[in-house]
Amino acid sequence: MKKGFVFLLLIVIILALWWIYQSSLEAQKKQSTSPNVVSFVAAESQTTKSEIRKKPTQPKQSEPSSEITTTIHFSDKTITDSELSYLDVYRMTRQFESCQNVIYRLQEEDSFDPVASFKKRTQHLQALYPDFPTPTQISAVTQHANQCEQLLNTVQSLDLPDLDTSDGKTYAPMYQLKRRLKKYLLSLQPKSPKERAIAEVLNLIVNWQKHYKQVLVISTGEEETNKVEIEALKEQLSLLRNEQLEFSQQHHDSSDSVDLSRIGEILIEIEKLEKQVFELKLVNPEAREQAIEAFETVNELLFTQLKSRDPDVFYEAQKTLELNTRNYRDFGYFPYKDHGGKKLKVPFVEYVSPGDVIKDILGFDDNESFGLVINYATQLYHCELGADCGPEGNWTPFYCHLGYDNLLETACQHDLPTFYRDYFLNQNQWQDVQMVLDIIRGLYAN
Amino acid sequence: MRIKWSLLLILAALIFGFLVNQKNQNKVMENNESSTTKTSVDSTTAFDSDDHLEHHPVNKPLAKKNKQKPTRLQLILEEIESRIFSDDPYVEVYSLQSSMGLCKDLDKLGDIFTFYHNYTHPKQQQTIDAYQEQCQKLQSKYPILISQDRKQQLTTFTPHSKLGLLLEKTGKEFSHMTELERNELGAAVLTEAIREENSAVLMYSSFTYRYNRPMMSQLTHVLNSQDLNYVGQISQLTIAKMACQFQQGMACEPTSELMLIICAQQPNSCGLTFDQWYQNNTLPGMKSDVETMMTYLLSTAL
Repeated sequence: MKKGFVFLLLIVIILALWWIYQSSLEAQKKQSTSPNVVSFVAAESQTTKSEIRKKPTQPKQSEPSSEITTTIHFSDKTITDSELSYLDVYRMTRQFESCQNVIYRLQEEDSFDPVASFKKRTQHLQALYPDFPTPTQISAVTQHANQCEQLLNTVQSLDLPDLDTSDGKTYAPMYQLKRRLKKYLLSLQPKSPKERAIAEVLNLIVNWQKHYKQVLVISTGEEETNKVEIEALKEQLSLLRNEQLEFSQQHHDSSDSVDLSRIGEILIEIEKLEKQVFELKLVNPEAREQAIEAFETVNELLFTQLKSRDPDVFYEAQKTLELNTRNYRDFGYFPYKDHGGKKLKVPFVEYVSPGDVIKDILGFDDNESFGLVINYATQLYHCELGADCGPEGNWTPFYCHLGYDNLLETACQHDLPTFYRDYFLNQNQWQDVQMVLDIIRGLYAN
Repeated sequence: MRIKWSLLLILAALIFGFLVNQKNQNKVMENNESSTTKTSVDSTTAFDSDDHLEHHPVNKPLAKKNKQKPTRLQLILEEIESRIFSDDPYVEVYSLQSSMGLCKDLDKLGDIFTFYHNYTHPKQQQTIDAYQEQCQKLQSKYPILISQDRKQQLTTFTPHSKLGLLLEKTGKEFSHMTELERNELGAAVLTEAIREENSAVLMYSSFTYRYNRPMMSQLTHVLNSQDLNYVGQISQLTIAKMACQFQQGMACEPTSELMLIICAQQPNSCGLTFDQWYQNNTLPGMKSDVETMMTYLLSTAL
């Protein structure tokens, strides 16, 4: 009898434990699917380094997006500023990046049709693949446009700060809104540790950009030493540009009456004078060295942020250090860095980006071959940190409908590692990418 | 990458411009004889600038045929008497033009190196100097070919080889073709260039393949990859690697136009041959895919 009671008690305890376990699972699931919630990975970001090293190279199997999504989906109810956390607003800035084309069109066009626009943009693919676009892709386009429209409505309803227009620069409404939203975010007070980590990297980025720009300004060369000669040349340039403008106007009004050879002469003369002005500019090597030293201090701090276990912190630091201005592309290595290019007397060639470091480790010199592996590997590392890499996450929509080439239905249906491994890359590519991913882990996760 | 793309596109545009603009092809005379060796000219049919159709018999020095001042055609034929690429003068001239195009305008050579920056790396300068030296040698070997207007060069000859006819078709009809026709022609040129072992035309083809998405999409099955950018890059590397095997690897020397363009963007690669550069800039999986693509392309040319 006593034995029977103990047995019964044991069963009750087991059932109770099972019930508690199930409840906690349900709660977790609800939390991850609710809107405006921080990435499911927050817990994972607490993982110790030894645990990270134990992570298998092969990614986990595809998970439904609803379980891992961090994309914000606003409900129809009006959201007041006070209800939004720092993280909510940060998520808006990230979603704005993937939505900016749609938002631009929504603001500029009276009747924007996302599906028609998508079909027009991908005509070249329709010629190649008879089944393109599939209903799944059309559905993804529509859903994305709806989410972007909701985001636009929400952002417009916020009490955003005005931009400083004293520099006389004007921006299209979409860019104005984007900049105002960013300014709004920077003015908010972060509360949770994650919010503070994001705020720290964003503030560091502002400082980094200021110092980077300062190096470029000094590298442009000063005009003070040869002021008289430069001003005389600029006056001549101004006259020539006016003449060029007049010719262009005349050509616009009546093309027959314009002496095109004279326009050619003007352009050659302008180029010659610009070259003379450029030669007369001087760079102070000491001042440049000091600016680079000041930059290096901030640069090191931002590089340290690459070791963060928070996917958002890693994303912001990586994108900034790589000077990547393109959204959702070239995450890992941005090959178009010109460090001021032809505008500078001495380009900032001393700068070494995170991608450059990995390129050096591999012994590569070629951006194109390097580009075939680095971006995939960096994205996969981002996924390992816990970024949303589901079908509606950070990267797959680019292959489903957001990009221009390589648009595949399978990208709309799988998480990024599964898509890359099973549907997009071949085995050799996958192995090469894993090799680079190991280097990235070695640099940042140890 | 943009730099490389831009430079490659400029080079491709130069080649295309050169071909597309060769209009006004005049009279054609069929050459029924075909030679088997590339080092001697057995028979040549050509259209003279004086509107005379001439058939030059075997082994008769052209300049000796008449004692008048030699025509442009005669001078060019003398220059290409010792063949490098083909016994078809059309293909020979085309190939030489392609491989020494940058020698034509040496003053502009620096522009490739200062496309985005206003400075030239010392390693780049060494390569520029070596290239200029090579151009001077070519200048003395091919004074007419280098100095004359490239648009007019090929109008002098009528192709008699399959590759020559395809190249002529590319120049004459490309701008009027549909995308599908262009791609079919591009594939045919590549196949024939492999058969003819012509490194210059292969290099031209490698650029065509690199950025042509429809052509890439037809090769995805070869590598079992859906990544068109990857397939394009592997195709280009494969074709370039193949080109290195012909004409004693002249298309892949440190002073070849390909390596010059690479040097313009990658100072550390200046002075390398293509093969050395290839070994440094590919991973094991890429190398394996290049071998797969090589096998496939060679099989299409059989």
